[in-house]
Amino acid sequence: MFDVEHYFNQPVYQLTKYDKKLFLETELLNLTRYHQEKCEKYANILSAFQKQEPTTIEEIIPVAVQLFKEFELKSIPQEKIYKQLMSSGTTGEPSRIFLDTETAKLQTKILIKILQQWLGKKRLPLLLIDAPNIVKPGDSMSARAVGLQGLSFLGYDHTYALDSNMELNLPVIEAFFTKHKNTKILMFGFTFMVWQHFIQALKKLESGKQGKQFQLADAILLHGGGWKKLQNQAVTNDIFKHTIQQTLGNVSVHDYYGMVEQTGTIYIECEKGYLHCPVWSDILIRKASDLSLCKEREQGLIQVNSLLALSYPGHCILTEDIGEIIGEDNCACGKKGKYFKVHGRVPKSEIRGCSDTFS
Amino acid sequence: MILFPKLASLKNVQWHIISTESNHNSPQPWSGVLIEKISAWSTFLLSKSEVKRSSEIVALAFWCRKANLISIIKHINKYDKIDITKRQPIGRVFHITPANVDTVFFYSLVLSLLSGNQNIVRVSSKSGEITWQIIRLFREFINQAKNKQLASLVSIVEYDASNEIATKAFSAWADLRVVWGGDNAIEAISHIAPHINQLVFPDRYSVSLIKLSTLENSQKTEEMITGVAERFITDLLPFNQQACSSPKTLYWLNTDKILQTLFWKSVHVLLASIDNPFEAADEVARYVFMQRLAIKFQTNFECISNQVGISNILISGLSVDALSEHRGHGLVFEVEIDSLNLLPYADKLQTVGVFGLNENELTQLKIKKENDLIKRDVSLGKALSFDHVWDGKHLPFILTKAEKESQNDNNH
Repeated sequence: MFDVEHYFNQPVYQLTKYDKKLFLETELLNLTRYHQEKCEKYANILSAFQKQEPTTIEEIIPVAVQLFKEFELKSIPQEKIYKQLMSSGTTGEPSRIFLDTETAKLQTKILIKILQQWLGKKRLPLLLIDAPNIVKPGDSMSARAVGLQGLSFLGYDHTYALDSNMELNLPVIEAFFTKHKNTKILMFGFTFMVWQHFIQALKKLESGKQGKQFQLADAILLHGGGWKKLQNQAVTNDIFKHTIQQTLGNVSVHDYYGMVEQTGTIYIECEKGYLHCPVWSDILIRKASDLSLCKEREQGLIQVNSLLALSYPGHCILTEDIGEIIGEDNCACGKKGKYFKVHGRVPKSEIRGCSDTFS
Repeated sequence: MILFPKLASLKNVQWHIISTESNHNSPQPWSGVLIEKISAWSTFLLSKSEVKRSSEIVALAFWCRKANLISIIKHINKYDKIDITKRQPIGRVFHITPANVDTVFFYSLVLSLLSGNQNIVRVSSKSGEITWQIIRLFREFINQAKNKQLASLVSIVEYDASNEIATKAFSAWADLRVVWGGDNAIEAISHIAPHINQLVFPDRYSVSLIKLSTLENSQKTEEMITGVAERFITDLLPFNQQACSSPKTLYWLNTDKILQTLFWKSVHVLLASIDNPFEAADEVARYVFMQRLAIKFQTNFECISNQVGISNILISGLSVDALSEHRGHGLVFEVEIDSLNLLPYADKLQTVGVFGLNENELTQLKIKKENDLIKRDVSLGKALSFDHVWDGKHLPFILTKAEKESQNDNNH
């Protein structure tokens, strides 16, 4: 029922407000009806809140992201499950996302198409700032593993910068940089890991006898996963970028935002420091108090909408992240669509009632 | 000299307060000296400026006043025909208060102190700020030389729930174990260390029951409604609406829509004048909870209104199971009923906070209580006031035992 070709052929960052809405609205409303038919739990949510069918994107009831941790929300029969994705949350139950082959393929294809906008079409030597034992056997995959896998399509000579103890693997890194000194290099990792286990580890060496500093001619670093741990250390995005360039040389650094519940549509930070919505997805910012929409530059809960959730009702998700829309179609970097900032997560409210677990 | 060197050597247990040996005899329950000490504690609390900022601690201090304690003795005398002062301490009591509503553990402790028992209280590291504040204040109080007798009766420990050795050791030490904290906690603790003599407080939910009628003129009606709104939020706001006696649902008994609207308007005005006790996380938790209910119970939300700080939702067909999953966060369900038979009667129903019922309806409610269909009925605004009979359990009685059968036994 979904015209996947039509999806795929859209330009990533070129549709302006009106055209994008035209494209997204029809498809998201279609997805809503589709999942309502195929997923009983989703239908229950809609009928609890909705008095009439939605006619605009804003009227679609977003599913709270927490529910993917508590329930199996899927719109495909058991035998069609091709892959189950799990979020790599540090606490509580992970989210479980069920993909059929069509959805898995589409998500990977779109992910690659988005990344190519930033990396170019040519494959690049890839240094993964992670340990080599991330992808474990079995069909459940963590978000971290999915990210690494998606990116691995775009790289060659996949090399892990850390060993299985999360320690710097210096000989391997040096050999990698030397081998590819005449080409553009791609690096990928989780924000905290890049900072703590890679950059800080290199800096420690710098001050010691084995002092290590590189002068890369042309590299790009893609990192994501959130700033919480770095904020605790008072590391801002500016300090992060500056320290990386000091340690490694000419590296263009891009943060990204995305989640396992909507794999495929990632939001990448442009050179002006803003995250950009690709054509297949969009965000809304809502007030936590009543879910009404926030104005531009007003902080609220981020709702992510994506066309790539075909096998599960995850096309409109209310996250627990706080963000603000900076503008639409007019970012100085030239890309069309909404651009925004993420300001971390709503602090978890502790359940401390009379009825609590022994803890 | 500390009292229990063997317990004190347990690994990974933090002793916030550790009892010291005293040359006092074991005190008689509810004796003058104990009442004096507890009322001195009340005076001590009320003399602290930091206490005045916490309505929960002020409530505790007021409860510990001499006048209140004496009225409890009298009450027990009159209604239970027991002279509590003639009973004996039960002995050693181990209180477990897992991340509980911050002050409840202390009422349990005070009642046990008044009963002359030796106490060890386990607090959770997840406890709120108020818990730590009370512990700090209590330590300061018992460190005063004149309060040495109390110091010999109280220890407060903190350890991780996974430290089963500690739970076993403290349980083995105790003659009575008191477990606050719901079904899960009770099950987990009983699994680690079964105890033959324990007092448990399982999961409960509570509701408000309001009936509004117009008075002779609109001004009087409005004033009355403002008063009702005030009493409602007094019950609603403390402890993040997570105490077992915090109302989760408001039952409207034969109340006109117009009056309901006036009531919510009044609540709205009152909430706008105070700091919002609920945070963004609570607001998020409300949506998660509503969607969870929709999936699990096909609950239908007829009308969702968002006030400053709280949300109220009119629903029909609220099941008892759905209600027992309510975890506060400033969410109020509304249900319209035309008969007291439609309250969510279940073993889990604890407090009904009542306003506006006529004689006949109050009698009906009394019969429900006598038939054990509700545990507690109070007037609206008093849901969180601590009663010595809590959740249907007569604490002063349970924390003491009958007079020794024969005094002569002691002469051997």
